[in-house]
Amino acid sequence: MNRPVGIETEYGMLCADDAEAVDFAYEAAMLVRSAPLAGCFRGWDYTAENPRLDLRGKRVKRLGQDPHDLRGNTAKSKHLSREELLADTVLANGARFYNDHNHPEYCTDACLSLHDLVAQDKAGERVVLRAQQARNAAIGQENYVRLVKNNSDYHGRSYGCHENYLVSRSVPLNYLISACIPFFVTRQIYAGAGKAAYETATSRAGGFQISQRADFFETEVGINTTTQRPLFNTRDEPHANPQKYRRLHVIIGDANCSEFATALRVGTMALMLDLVEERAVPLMQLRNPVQALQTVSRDLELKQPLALADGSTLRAIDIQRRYWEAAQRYRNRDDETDWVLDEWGAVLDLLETNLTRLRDRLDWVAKLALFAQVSGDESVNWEDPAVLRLDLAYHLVDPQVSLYHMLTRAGRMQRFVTDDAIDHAETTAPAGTRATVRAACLAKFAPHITEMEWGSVTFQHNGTPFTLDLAELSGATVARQQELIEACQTVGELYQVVRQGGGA
Amino acid sequence: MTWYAEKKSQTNSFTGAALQQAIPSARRLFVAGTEAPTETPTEAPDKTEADDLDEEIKRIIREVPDPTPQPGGE
Repeated sequence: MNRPVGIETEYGMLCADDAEAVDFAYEAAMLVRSAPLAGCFRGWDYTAENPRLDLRGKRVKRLGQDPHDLRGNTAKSKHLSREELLADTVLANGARFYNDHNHPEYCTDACLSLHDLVAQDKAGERVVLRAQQARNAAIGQENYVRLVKNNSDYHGRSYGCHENYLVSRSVPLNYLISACIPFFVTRQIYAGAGKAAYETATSRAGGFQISQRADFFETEVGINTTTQRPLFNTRDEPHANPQKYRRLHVIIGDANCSEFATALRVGTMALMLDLVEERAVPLMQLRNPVQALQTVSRDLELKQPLALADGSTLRAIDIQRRYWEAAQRYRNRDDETDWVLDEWGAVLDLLETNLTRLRDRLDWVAKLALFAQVSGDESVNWEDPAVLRLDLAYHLVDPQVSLYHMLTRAGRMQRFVTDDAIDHAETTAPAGTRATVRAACLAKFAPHITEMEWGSVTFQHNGTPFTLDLAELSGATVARQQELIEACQTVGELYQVVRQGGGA
Repeated sequence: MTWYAEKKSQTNSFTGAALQQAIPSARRLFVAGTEAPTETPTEAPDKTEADDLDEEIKRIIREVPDPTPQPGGE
């Protein structure tokens, strides 16, 4: 990849108690705090966060909230302090694990390669599985809570899997939006996780669609994330040098179980942003992007024409092919880029000619193949409650009851990283990134750290606080900071260097 | 899906108007591809493998709870 990219995943949480009685805030907090995490830091510095700052040059007074949202019983959680409730944790690999909107959320820091990103994302699944096991052991009930890597509760609520791409601040915002929206609408044909339901906030009907999330988007551009969800989110919170960078906060995407799908989802998006920064992206304006998103999600045969503003029509595959063709200019740049271009093109061809062969790569096709297998010669009764159990089972993080893991064990899902790489990612930050500096600080000076967040680490030395700035995500500054942490034997030495301006 | 009967029938109290009536059957989408040659690591399973997979799927579906309401997120 030609840019730093991170993934944040909110996990669904199934509790054995009646859902209406569950205090999800409490359960998410307790689950995160139960996790056996060696060498972690508990806490988070929120002073640098500003989710109400809008890329369009304003700061909104408040973010919208879904009036139908399930809040749960607060009898337990109201007795927790803010810190206990958020359960913020920085892990030994530099990632963040906490309670976000009453869901356990695992965030990788930005990675520089697809391999590292997929490994870090998969490491997150292991972290949350251990948290689940620890929480159940503490309660003394084997399956009290089960975590699921999906994006819908099948009852009209959705939770997110966001990608974060660092993009040059010099790109005009309107150009970025115009380039992204047709891409976001159509990339689900390979990045969708599949869902055996159609949902609104108050109703559900049986059926199969490509995307977990398409039902939940209502507008084209906006800053909200939990209601009136926009295709293009305008939150302006780069967690990096704001003069140089935007963080493109992509909220329209499914949480993939397939390693291949995760790699392709991110790799294609990163290439599309390369085109954006060179002003070389093919511009196609959809007449009604939100409607098109839902049309594509329901079009399992991928034949539906989408209306463009100029009066012409294109299918989702055609739109993706135009991006793919434009991205050929990056061929031979590096092995990873060639992998993305090769697989992107091959997948688009197979989507058109032989869907079955993608069942070992794309989540939605793998899931549809499971339905085909169990239905035999009969039609699937999409209204049968067992359909939703099969859908849900694909996404469970516990390998013993996860259909995705069952397929993987049977050699029926292609891998992108090895188990050894995931083991490594659980304890090691992604190479060449500021996460390595954060992780090194944690490993060496943990007793002296008072605050951490993406862009800084704050220490205390003899009662005096000082901060190491991590606004650069990679490159020479990060390399110098890695050397600095390695060279300093005591926090006092680090304090002296930082005080003299040698920390950046 | 006759095997669904293995788990006791449950009332789905969360219903709404069908958003789309004409969904192609999953089987139809896969018929052509299943018979096509493949060059992927996924080989067409022999009968025993397919039976084993069926049993594993059924076991998992029996053990998995119905999805329950959760808070929205982001």
